[in-house]
Amino acid sequence: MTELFTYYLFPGLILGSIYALGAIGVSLLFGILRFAHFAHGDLMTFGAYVAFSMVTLFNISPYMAIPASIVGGIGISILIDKVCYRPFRQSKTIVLVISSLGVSLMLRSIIQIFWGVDYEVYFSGIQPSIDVAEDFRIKIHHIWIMLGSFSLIFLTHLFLKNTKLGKAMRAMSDDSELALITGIHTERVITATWIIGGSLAAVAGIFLGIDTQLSPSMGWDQLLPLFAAAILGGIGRPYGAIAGAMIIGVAEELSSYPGFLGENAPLLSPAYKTGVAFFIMVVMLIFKPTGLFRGRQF
Amino acid sequence: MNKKKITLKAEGLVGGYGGMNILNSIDIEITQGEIVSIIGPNGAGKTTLLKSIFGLIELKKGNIFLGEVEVTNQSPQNMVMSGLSYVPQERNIFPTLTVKENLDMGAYLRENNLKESMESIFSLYPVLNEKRNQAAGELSGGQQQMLAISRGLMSDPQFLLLDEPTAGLSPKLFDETFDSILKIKELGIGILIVEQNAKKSLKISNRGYVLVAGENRLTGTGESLLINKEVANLFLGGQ
Amino acid sequence: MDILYGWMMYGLSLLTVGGIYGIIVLGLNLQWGITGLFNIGIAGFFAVGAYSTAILTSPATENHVGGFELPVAIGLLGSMFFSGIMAFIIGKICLRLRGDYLAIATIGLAEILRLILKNEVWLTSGPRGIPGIPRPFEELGQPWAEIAFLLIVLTILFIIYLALQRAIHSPWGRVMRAIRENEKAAASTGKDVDGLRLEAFVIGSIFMGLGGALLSHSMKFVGPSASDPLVTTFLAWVMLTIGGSGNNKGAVIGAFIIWTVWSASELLSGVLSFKWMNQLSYFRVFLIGFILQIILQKKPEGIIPEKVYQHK
Repeated sequence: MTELFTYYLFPGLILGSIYALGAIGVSLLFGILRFAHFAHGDLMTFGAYVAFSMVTLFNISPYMAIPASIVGGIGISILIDKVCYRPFRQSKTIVLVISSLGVSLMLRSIIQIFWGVDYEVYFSGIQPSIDVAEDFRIKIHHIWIMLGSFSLIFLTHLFLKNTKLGKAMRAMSDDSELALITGIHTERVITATWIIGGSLAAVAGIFLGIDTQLSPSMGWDQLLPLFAAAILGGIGRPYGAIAGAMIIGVAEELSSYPGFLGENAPLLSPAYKTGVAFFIMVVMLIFKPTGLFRGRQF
Repeated sequence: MNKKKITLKAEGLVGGYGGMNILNSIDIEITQGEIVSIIGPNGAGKTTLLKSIFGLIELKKGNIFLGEVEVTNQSPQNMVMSGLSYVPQERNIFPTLTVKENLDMGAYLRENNLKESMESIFSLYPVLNEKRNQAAGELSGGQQQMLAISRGLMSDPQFLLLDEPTAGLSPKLFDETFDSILKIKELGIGILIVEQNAKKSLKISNRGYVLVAGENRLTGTGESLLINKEVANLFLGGQ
Repeated sequence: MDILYGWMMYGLSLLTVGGIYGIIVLGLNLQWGITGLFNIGIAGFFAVGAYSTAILTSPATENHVGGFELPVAIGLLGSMFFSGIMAFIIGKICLRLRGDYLAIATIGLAEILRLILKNEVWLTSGPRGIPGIPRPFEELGQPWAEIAFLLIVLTILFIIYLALQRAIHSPWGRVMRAIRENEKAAASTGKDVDGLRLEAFVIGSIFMGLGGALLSHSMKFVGPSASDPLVTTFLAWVMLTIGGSGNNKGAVIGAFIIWTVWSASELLSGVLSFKWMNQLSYFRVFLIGFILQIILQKKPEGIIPEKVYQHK
C-alpha cells in the first residue's frame, strides 16, 4: 500500500497539480477566445527556460526565479496574442488553431536557438526527501511544488470569484457576445486571460523542470494531458480543469502501477503514460463532450 | 424626474449582414418613459433593427441620435455608456455566474449606486433576491427572463431594448412580464420592445411600428394599431 | 563541372521530395480543402506508410519484424493499405468530432504513434530505425537512378492530381464541398454525410501514407523522426495554406515552394561557421512559422485561391 502511495498516487497528484496550472489557462483561453491553444505547452517550456537562465546567471534556486519567469511568461503571451492571434479575432477558429500551431513551433525554435537542445537540470545530485511515515518518503521538492501550485490555484480562484475582471472573465467564457452587449471590455478581458494563463504556464514549466528536467519539447509533450484535463473538466470551466488535471495526473501514474495484475507487471509501460490522458480525452469527447462539469461545447 | 426627457431617434436606417441588406429604410423614435412596440412578420428585420441601433451590426446608411448627440455605429460599450441597454431574445444570461454576479456584470461600466439599483431590482423581482447566490443557469425559464431584463437595468439605462421578452413563456408568465415592463416604464425608462405577441404588447404601448421587409409599413398609437384592419389581418390573425 | 553536377543532384532531390510532399498535400487538400476535416495528425499516417514499406521491402534482419525483401511496388501498396486501415479505424471513432476537437484527437493519435515507433523495438527497431530500404532502379547508377525515381514520383503525383481534379468536378466533389459548407443541409438532402467524410479521410490518409513510403525509399532509411509533427504535419499545412486551400494546383505548387524554402535554408548553413550551423537549423523552423503568419494575415486564400464552383 505504501508503495502505491509513495511511488504512484502521490507523484500522480504532483503531476496533476502541474497539469492544473497549465490546464486552467487552456480552459480559460478555449472558453474566451474559442480555440484550442496548441502553443500552451511551449509557453510552459519558455517559462522553465527563463528560470533556468536566472538560476545559472545568479546562482539562485529556481523557486526564487519564479517572479522573473512569470514576467517573461506574461510578456511573451501578450506579445504572441497581439501579433499572432489578435488579427484573427473575427476569423474561423481553425485559422487560430493553425496560427497557434505555428506559434508553438516558432517558440520552440527560439528556445532551441537561445538555450540549445540538450537536457538541462536546475540542480544536480540527489534530491533531498523526508520520511513522513515508515516506508513513506516525500521529496522536499514535491512538497514545494504542491504548496506552490495550490496557492496559485487558490489565488486564481480568489481573482475569478471576487474581482470585477475575474467575474467578467467567467462571463465572457460563458457567452462572449452577451459580454460585449453588457459593456464588458472584451479586449481587456482577453489581455487579463493571457496574463493569468501565461503566468500559470510559466510556473507550471518551472515545476515540471524541477520534478523532471528541461528540454525544448518538455511543454509540447504535456499538450495532450493539458487538453485532456481541460476537456474532462469542461471547456471554459477553470475549476473543472483543476479536477480534470488531478484525475489525469493520477490516472497516468497509476497506469504503470504493477499491483493491479498481481504479477508485478505494470498495467501499461510507463512510456505510454500520455496514452492514458489521450484515451480519457477521446472517450470523453465522444460520450460526454461537455465534460464532467458541463462546459461549453463548440 | 424634472430633467428634460431625452428622445432616441433613428432615421433612414439601412444595414444587414455582409452584402445583404435586411433593413432597407427604417425610421423610429422613442422618448424616455414611453413603451414602443415593433411588430412585423418573421424576417421583417425586427431583431436586426435592435442590433443595429445598439451597434452590433454596422449601418450602411442612416443616423441615430440620442437627444442632440449622434451615436450612429458606436461600439456596444459606448452605447451602454450613453444610456442604452439591450436584452437579446436568447442566451441573455451568463449561466455559470450566480444571479448576483449576473447583475454585477450588468453594472460593469458603472462605479456608484450599485446597491440602490440592485435593491430596486429585487423589489421588482423578489424571487431573484431569494436566489441571488444560485447559478443563473439553474433558474426556471421565467426567472431567467427576469434576470435578463434586470441585467439590462443594472447599467442604469435611459432606454431598454427588449427582444421578445415573452418568447417561450407560459401565458401567466407573460402577463407578469408585461406588468414588470409597465413598472420599468414608471422609472422613466424608454422601452423599445420587439414582440411576436403583438396584441398584448400593443395594449401596453404608447406607440407601435409595423415593419415589413425592412421598411416602415404602419405607425401609430398602440390602440390605433390594435383596431387597424391591415394589422389585424397581418399579425393578429385568429387572436 | 563538379559544382554543376552537385547542383543538378541537389535539384533532383529537391524535386523528388517536393513531389512527395505534393502527394501528401493533395491528400490534405482532399481532407481539409475539399471536405473540411481538420486533420493535424498527418505525421501519424505518413509514419505508418514509411514504416510499412520499410518492413516489407528491407533486407532480412534480426533487429525487428520483417525485412521481407518484397518488391518496392508491393511495399508501396502495403503502405497505402496499412495507412488506409488505420485511417478507417480512427475515422470511425473520431470523425464524429468537429473542428478543434478533431484536431486534438488526430494530433493525439499521431503523438501516441510516435511513442509506439520509439518504444516497440521488436516492430520498428526503435530509435535505431530501419536502414537498407531499396530504391528502385538503383542499378542504373548516379544520376540515372535519381532521375528514374524522380520520374516515378512525378508520375504518381500527376496521376493523383488528375484523379482528384476529376473527382472535384464530379457530383462526388460537389457533395463533398456541400458537406464542408453546410453539413446539416447536405445531410437533409439524404446524403450519407458520415460515410462520405470517412471516404475523404481514408483516401487522403492513403496519399499521406504513400508519401511517407516514397520518402522512405528516397532516403533508403526510416527512423522515429518520420513521425516528427514538425517536418510533416506542419510543413504540409503551411504548404496547403500558402498554395490555396481547396485548390489542387495550389496544393502542389505550395508543396514545391515551401520545400524549396525549407531546403534552401539548410544550404545556407554551409556558409556559416560551425557554431551557427546548429542554430540555423532551428531558425528555419522559425522562418516557416513566420511565412505562415504572413500568409494567414495578408493572403489567407493562398496563392491560387479555390475557384468558386456554381452549385447546380
